[in-house]
Order: sequence, then structure tokens, then C-alpha cells
Amino acid sequence: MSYLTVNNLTHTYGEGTPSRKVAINDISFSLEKGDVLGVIGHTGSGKSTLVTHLNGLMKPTSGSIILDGKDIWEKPKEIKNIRSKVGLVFQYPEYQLFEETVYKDIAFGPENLGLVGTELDRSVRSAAALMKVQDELLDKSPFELSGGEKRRVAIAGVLAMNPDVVVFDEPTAGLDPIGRETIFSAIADYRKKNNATIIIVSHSMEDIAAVCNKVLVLNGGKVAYFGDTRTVFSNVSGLAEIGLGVPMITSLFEKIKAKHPDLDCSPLTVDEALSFLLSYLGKGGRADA
Amino acid sequence: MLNDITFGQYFVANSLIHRLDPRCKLLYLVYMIVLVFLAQNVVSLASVALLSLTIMLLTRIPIRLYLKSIKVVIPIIIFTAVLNMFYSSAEAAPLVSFWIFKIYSSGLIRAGFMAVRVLLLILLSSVLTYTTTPNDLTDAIERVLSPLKFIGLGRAIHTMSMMMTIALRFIPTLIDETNKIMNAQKARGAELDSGGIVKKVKALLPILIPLLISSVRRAYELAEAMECRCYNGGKGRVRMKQLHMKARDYASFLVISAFLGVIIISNIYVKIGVV
Repeated sequence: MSYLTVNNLTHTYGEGTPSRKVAINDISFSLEKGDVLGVIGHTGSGKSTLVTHLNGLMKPTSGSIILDGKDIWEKPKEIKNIRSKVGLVFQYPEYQLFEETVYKDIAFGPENLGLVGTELDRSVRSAAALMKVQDELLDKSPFELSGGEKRRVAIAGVLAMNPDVVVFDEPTAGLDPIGRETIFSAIADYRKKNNATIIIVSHSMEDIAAVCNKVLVLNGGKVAYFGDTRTVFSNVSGLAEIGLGVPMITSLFEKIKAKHPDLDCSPLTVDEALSFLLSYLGKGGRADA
Repeated sequence: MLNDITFGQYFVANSLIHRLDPRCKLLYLVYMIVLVFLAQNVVSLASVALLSLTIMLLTRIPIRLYLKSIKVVIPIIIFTAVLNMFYSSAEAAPLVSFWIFKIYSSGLIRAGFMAVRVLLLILLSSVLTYTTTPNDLTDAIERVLSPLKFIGLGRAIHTMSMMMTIALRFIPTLIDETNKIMNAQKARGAELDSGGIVKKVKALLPILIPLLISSVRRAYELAEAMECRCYNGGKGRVRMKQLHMKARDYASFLVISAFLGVIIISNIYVKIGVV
């Protein structure tokens, strides 16, 4: 039994009006604990609609979401409990900061779950530490921080609720490479610590290839591909057909392979490509190769 | 909940009313309002109502949407009607009387008239906003008010209409933004619709503060973008789209004026349900 299963999920906007639109259509996939799923697709392919279903902010028109063996809409009145199990970090989460201090803002989520006293303090501080939010920032106003710091505080605000599944919608949009690196390594740390299931929506194939073990490709509200990262990214032409790429290094190797058919490898990251090339050229481990 | 706001919204359709000159539409709205209040008896009020209904049908916008715009103001209509019910002089025995309140038949008629008038007011204003893009509308307001420049208010008029344009333009953006922030705070376990009044007001803070901050940020960005495109107020500004009066604009004026005639004549001769 999988930890998180999405069954035939369909959502239609404006049912019964002329502007009726099927946003996501018959989506099914399942994830285990500790999985990192990358969701890719064009603008308007239904990514955001899908992720807002996962914590019950939206109710499916049909289909179901099974979390830990239970349908999340089994008892509609208790949907709030689902929000503590499935954390959702929206795009540009820094725009939701509102408290006087960073500490209070991170505490907002766990407080809503009823945490108090030392338990609350512990969850705030551990989330802050995880997101590399230094202690001296905790007493500052969130509006004094830099863009990257704000983003990390906002993410800490969700992680402080200690969710088992965390969904990130474009967590690194608009950040510099160091900012991206910090956030991805923090996400990896959180996953390791809690054996959490992570879902990342991103436009960057490189990021997806580097951090995800499974990939879901959406096209026009439907599942185009779902499977482990390597299998999905082996559909180079299929992905190109729906206007999506593969990581640059993968497509570079596709081109090299066209000329050197004996080169049998589809690396997903530059590191992978490097180690493969080294062994291929038989130079074994020389850094300047 | 936020999706129910239809007042002040524009609906795309290709109708005679959509194509009328926005300046005319604005003035005709005022004209129609005058008619609504000039109508003093059942016949004249019915003819104005008929004209309004015809205009609404001509817009090719579903009646459902008009009903939606009324829904919000029903309390106001009821309030006005009830208030008017008691405002009548005692020319006959009261129908009902209790304590200091006395209801006369003329009061009931007055209440009915008031309700219909307010209803028509709302519907006619909806016709204007439903069929005119916000830009056209503010353009029209600026033009209609432009004679005020002779008393030195030219700049003020331009500034005001620019502010209105921007405000109208950002209503959907703000609604969008509010939805996003509400979702984000709900995802953090915020409860927005339970608890007492104090709890409810407190629950609004996590939404209002980010909304206010992003509005200010947006305003700065917009101001900068406008300055980058050399905006410096209304002075010497010309329009790409010039408005021209067409035959249909004059014709519609004649139609409304014909109803003015009907109303004046019926006010003189018809004595049914006089207010």
C-alpha cells in the first residue's frame, strides 16, 4: 500500500457555465514515504490545480486522494487535520509573511495546530535551523529581510508544522544559484530527517533531475508520463513533442550518441556525465580530464 | 465568496449597447435616472421599466448576471421601501396602525415605487458597467467632466480619472491575490470562518497585512513603470482611440426622449397610483 495515492483525480472549473474548463483530467499516481516527485508541465497544464488538491484546499470534482490509507475527504469537517499532514508551500511564499517578527511568523502554523510552550519553541527553532535562518534573524521583522531570507522564513513556516508530505510550488523561482542550492539542500535535509514525501513543481529540468527520484509530466491536464526520473527523461522525443525538454546534459548526450553510437549512457546530471566520460575514456579519476 | 462580485465588471458581448459611445452611455444613464424619478404614476413607471428591460435584453448579457448584481443590494431596497412605507400623510384611514406607526395605502404605493426605482437604478448602472470597459468608462467620465477645465480643474479631472482607471484595473488582480493569500494561510492551518467575532477579525490579519503590503509594492512598481514611459500627468496627452458619435448614438437619444414625452404626458393625464 502506497503512502500517498491519487486516484483518477479530475477537477472542472465553472461546472455548468459557459466558461467550463477541465483543469485536471483523470490523474492517477502513487508515492511512497521518502519519495521525491518532480511535477513538470507547461503553464496551464494543471500543476497548481493538482497541488492545491493534495492538502484539501480544493475539492476534487471526481476521484480521490488517499493519504496513509485514508481518503482525505472521508470526513470533510476534519479537512484541517490534513493540512497539518500535507504542507503546501506556494509560489513566492514570502508574500504571505505578516507577523511582527520572523519567530512569530514561523510559529503561526504550529500555533494553529495547537502547539504551545516548549513544543512550539522547539518546532519553530528546528524549522528555522533547517532553513538556515540564523537565530539573530528571529527577532527581526520579516519585512527587513532580503528576498532569499524571506523565502526561507516562509518555507520554515510550513515545515514548522512538521508535515509528512511537503508540496513545493516553484520553490526557487526568482532566486540566484546559491539561494536555489540552499533551498534544495534544506528540502533534502527535511526529507532525510522525517522520511517525508516531497513533491516539487518546477520548470527547471536540471533541478528536477538532480533532486527527484520520480517525475510526473502533465500535459493539458492529463498525465503524459509518470515514473522514475531516468525512465521519464529517456522519452526525449516524446517530451519534445509536448514542448518540454530534458536536462541539458541529457540532450547533449543524445546529440553525441547520434555520432558515436557506441556511447551508451543517458546521464541526468553533469556529475553523472563526468564520471561516465572518465570511465569511457579510460583515464580513471583524473580531475583535469 | 469573492467570485460573486459582479458589480463594476465588464462582460464581453457584441451588442448595440456595447457599441454605443461611452460618453453617451454615461449621459444616458443620468438621463434614464431622471426619467425613473420623473415617473409619478403606474403607467409612466411601467414604461420606464419596459424601456430598461428592453435595454437589458439588448445587451445580450444573461439576465442571471443582472439578478446577481441585485442580490447584493436587496437589503438596501427593502430598507428604502420600509422607510418609505411610513412616509405618507394621513388622507384616509390607516390600513394598519400600531403604537406610533400607521401604514396608509399611499404609503404602500410609495414603498412599491421606491423599490422599483432603486431596482431600476441598480440595473441601469449595471448595464453601463457590464457593457463598457473600465477604460472606456473612465475615458467617458474624463470627457464628460472636461468642461471643468475652464475653472482650473483640468489636472484634477485627469488625475481622478487615471486613479479610477487604475483602481478598476486592479480589482480582479486584488481578488486573485486575496484568494492566493487565503489559500496560503489556510495551508498553514488558519481558520477563516469559525469562532466568534473577535476571532474572525483576528483571522483576517494574516490576509489583510500581506494584501496591503503587496498593494503598496504594486503601486510603487506601477508608478515606476509609468514614469519609465514618460507619464507626467494629463498635460499634452492625446488619445490613440478618438471617440466619434455615430447615428446609433443620436437615435438612442431620440428613443429615450420619446419616453420622456410619454412620462410627461402620462403624469398629466393618468392618475392611477400617483405618488
